[in-house]
Amino acid sequence: MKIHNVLVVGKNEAIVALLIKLVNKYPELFALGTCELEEIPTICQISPVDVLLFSSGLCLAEEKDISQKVAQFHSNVKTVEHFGGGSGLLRTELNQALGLILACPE
Amino acid sequence: MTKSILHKADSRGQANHGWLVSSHTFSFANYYDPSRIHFGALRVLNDDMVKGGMGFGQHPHDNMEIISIPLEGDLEHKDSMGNVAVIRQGDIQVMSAGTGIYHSEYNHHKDEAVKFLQIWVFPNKKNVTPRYDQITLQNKDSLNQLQQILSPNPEDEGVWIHQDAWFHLGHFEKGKTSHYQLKKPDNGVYAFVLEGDFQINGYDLNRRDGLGLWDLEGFDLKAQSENSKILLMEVPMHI
Repeated sequence: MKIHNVLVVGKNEAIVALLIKLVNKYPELFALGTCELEEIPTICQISPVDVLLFSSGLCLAEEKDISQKVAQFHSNVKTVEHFGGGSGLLRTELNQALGLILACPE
Repeated sequence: MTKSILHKADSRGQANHGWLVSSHTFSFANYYDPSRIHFGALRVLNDDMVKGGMGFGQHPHDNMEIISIPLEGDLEHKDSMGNVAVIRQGDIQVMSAGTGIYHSEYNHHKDEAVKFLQIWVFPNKKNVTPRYDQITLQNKDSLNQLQQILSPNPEDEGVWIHQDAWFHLGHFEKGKTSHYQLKKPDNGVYAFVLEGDFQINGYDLNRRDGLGLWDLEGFDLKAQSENSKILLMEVPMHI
């Protein structure tokens, strides 16, 4: 089974932490995350990134800057703009980005 | 030419967690249907029943306009902005989640179920300051006519949200008709039958059926049974 690596980035620490926890419930996914934008290059050096999941608090310029930083290390990264801050929309957003149907988590 | 999409009540996604029974018009949580993700800016239309004494513990939301409409019973709300409230049938609650908000929702009663609609609309602006509001509707204004309950304008009738959306409720006697004129040409309308039966644009709609219409200026609706209730949600079709 291919594991898709998800990088969660946002400015609300509690919501980023929740999203990491929720993403990691899917066996096909592995999530890392940060609220500190300067940490992104370090994370990209130590971990592959298949999906960039934007959480709340980021302006368009920051999202563009983050995408560019990630692209310096990894290619073909899918971008997901997460809305809602929790579990309700997450599975659909990931399914659509990855072209998969993720198994429902326990 | 008018475009339309019909969602019959029994085609909705079902979730039964014991304490929570929910019908999802659009993909939500474990229900996923790629052909049913959203209707324009309308992303979630959940028809929820929560057993007595039960509810959703504290959980976060961000960047979403969240509207709750109790249909039966009372719903207790607490949030991280310090709001504590009970919303009842005839009330409308709205939250702009924006940069992030925590809240809980519980059935206010231990021995009777609460039934409510939870509606999520994509905002037209991300990362707004979170806000909460609730109002009580005057039922006398909705018999045999459409009553505006939501708009983009704080000064207008009903609650307001960060989106070019207008919601109307109507309670009709059998045979009564009404006309709905869209506020913006690029918007569409999602009609959701709360009770009874309606006819809209040649479609016969029954309880909890949904009909999306777009590329039109307006439409007529007709109640086909007594005590028929409908919710019209006008939203932008392009997000």
